[in-house]
Amino acid sequence: MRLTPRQIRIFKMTVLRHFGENTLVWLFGSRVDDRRKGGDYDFYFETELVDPDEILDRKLALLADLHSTAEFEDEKIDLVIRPGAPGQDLPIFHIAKADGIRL
Amino acid sequence: MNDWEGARVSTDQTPNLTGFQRRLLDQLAYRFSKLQDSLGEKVLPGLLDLAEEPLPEETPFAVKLQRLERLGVVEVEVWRMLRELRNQIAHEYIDQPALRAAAIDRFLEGVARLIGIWRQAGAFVRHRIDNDPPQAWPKTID
Repeated sequence: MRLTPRQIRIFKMTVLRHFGENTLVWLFGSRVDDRRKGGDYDFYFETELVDPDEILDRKLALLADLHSTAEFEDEKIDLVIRPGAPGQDLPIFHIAKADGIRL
Repeated sequence: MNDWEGARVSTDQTPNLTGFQRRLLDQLAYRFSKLQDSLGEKVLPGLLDLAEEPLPEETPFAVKLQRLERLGVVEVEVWRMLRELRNQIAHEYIDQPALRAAAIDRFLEGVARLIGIWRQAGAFVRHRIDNDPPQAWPKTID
């Protein structure tokens, strides 16, 4: 996994602050692979929130906070979010959890 | 601008955006990025040079933003949110039409907010002109 302990700490802390203490978080994509270099940060998480407007607003605030840290400044961060609403099931959610690392 | 206000993009509409609507959104997003870059790189730092206590040029942008907030030109939180927003509009949200609709909706609001900052910048310059003759301004403004 190509995330520093500090990045993990900052990411988790920031996600939990915006999306609640019960949010589960995974890293997936190229940053999981130690042999590769550089690349975007792909994170997946599951939230209990349902309202799309609220999820989007919190997502924007979360990204703004991450980008204002030295650890994630200017980095491309992709967040795949599974909302709490029933019927929300997409293949990407399963791929992210199966291939990803729980943080 | 008023045409967008109050209009709500519904979840049902987003999978069916026409090619024309998509291109229009792309064009808006492109111009949004250009305007935000111009504000961030040139206009907003330039306003600080007109302020009564200019900051050294090497001051980090975050510190300049805080000063601009105190001057009433821009809210730091809004500015940071708008920076993230422009990336979200390019995000496809494949198979998540509700989030996609929310992103388009916020983006269209964001267009109005960005232009609001532009207007504030203009008002700030006008205020300085009214209170301070231009001869006293810095020699060069890039």
